[in-house]
Amino acid sequence: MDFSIILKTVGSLVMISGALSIIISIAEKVLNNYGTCELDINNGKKMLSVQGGSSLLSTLAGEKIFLPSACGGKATCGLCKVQVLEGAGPLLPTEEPYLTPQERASNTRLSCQIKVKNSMKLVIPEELFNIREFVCTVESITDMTYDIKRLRMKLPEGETISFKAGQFMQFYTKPYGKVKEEVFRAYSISSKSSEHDYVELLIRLVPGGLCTTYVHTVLKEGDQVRLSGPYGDFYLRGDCEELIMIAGGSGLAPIRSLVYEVIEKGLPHKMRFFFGANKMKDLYYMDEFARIEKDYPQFRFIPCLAFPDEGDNWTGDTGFVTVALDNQVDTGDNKEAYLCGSPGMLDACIKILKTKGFTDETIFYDKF
Amino acid sequence: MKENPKDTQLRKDMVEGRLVKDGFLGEDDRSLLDIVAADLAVLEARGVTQQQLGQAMRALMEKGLTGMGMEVDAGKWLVKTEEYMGRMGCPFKDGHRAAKRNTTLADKASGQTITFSDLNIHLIEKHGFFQGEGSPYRLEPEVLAELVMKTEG
Repeated sequence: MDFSIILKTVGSLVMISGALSIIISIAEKVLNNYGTCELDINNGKKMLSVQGGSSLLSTLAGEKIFLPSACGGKATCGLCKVQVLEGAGPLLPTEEPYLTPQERASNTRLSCQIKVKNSMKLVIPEELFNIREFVCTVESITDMTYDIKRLRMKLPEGETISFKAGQFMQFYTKPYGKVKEEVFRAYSISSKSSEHDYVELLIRLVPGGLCTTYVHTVLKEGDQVRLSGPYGDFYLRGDCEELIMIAGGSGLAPIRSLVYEVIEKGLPHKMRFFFGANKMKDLYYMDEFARIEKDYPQFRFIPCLAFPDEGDNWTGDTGFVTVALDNQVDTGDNKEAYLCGSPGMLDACIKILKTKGFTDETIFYDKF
Repeated sequence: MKENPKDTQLRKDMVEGRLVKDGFLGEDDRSLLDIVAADLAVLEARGVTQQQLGQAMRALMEKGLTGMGMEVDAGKWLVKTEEYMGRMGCPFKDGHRAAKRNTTLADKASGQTITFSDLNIHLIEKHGFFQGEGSPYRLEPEVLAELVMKTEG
């Protein structure tokens, strides 16, 4: 075959594919250009003009309206629900598994899955407008146990945060290693709600965890980190005489904040805090809670060690936290329970609490 | 086997660093359909279904839970289930949110160990997905099939 024919053929193919690429990229820009869209929030109470084309979750975040989310918009957590009365289009298959029949009937959607393509009417709970974003400086990273670190972060100069003890923040990582994009996860605040210029989180290393690996292996003191919050409805109700608090591992975080809130506000509630751990090495904040117990007779700290070693000289409760709870809490009358820990611990404790007369209305815990 | 657009999107979310640090696929460049089909064929050849596997793994995990983080005697196995706060969404986006738990089985006789998460149980039981070759959380179907035999035997 003539070499020039081969060259011409190859050249033609290159030109055709090049032209097709240009047409596709122009078409993409034209077709995906949704222009300016109006977001009517809460029946005209807030009107936003936004550039269409992104997910509703990220569009709202760009307008400083932060909806809770634990998976970073990948449709695996189902937390970023929002009511969209108009403009969302048909329900997507990726949303279906997360929505109850009632939610579908009320036009609730997953904001990470629907794209802003035209004007929309939304209903967003008022309390979410208080959620803000902060770029904080990591002031200290402290090893509390072999797998739990405490991050103490200072808010930018002049900025303050108001939160209810028990609420959580979303912590954003930067890309690292093979993690090419930002990741965010929810962590309960462990610091006092009276402290307005700092936020503390307790973060336990989860094997393979995107965010906890970042905190435990990449993050350094002095680094800047992004937080948003406060989120959540796990906070003190206090319509009772006594608070039964139960935690394990890093679940101690919101309970610590709650204990300080009751004390600092001078609330009259008695408090009993059952803290479950397997070994001595899993216990932390022991001195601090012992000191609070000494200073405030309304507070009792009950650490429960499931498997103390002989040399530990452990004199506290031995056994699972569920045993101590069962033995020491007689009835749910005039009590509220606040729990934070692993799903298995929560399930086991809730089961016991219900046998004592606690109800869904008097048991509080975070579901993330 | 040709991958459909939905599976192509799922594959994108399963690479390392997207949903979990190490991803679900390892070095495997086969389509999801091919990965699942090959592993289920191995199971079928051993006369075990993905549901049987899931049930056996869940039973062992539940046994491990009773130890609250310590080893528990489960016949031929020593079982240890460790829990973490929070849940993990299924990468197939079916609405399932697995508890963050890892269960480790140690064969009393040989000392051989296998570790699986609650998400592994769900992925195998519902999706026939044992993860791609090279993924740290991949479980070999023939090893798991043997596990079922040991559990039931």
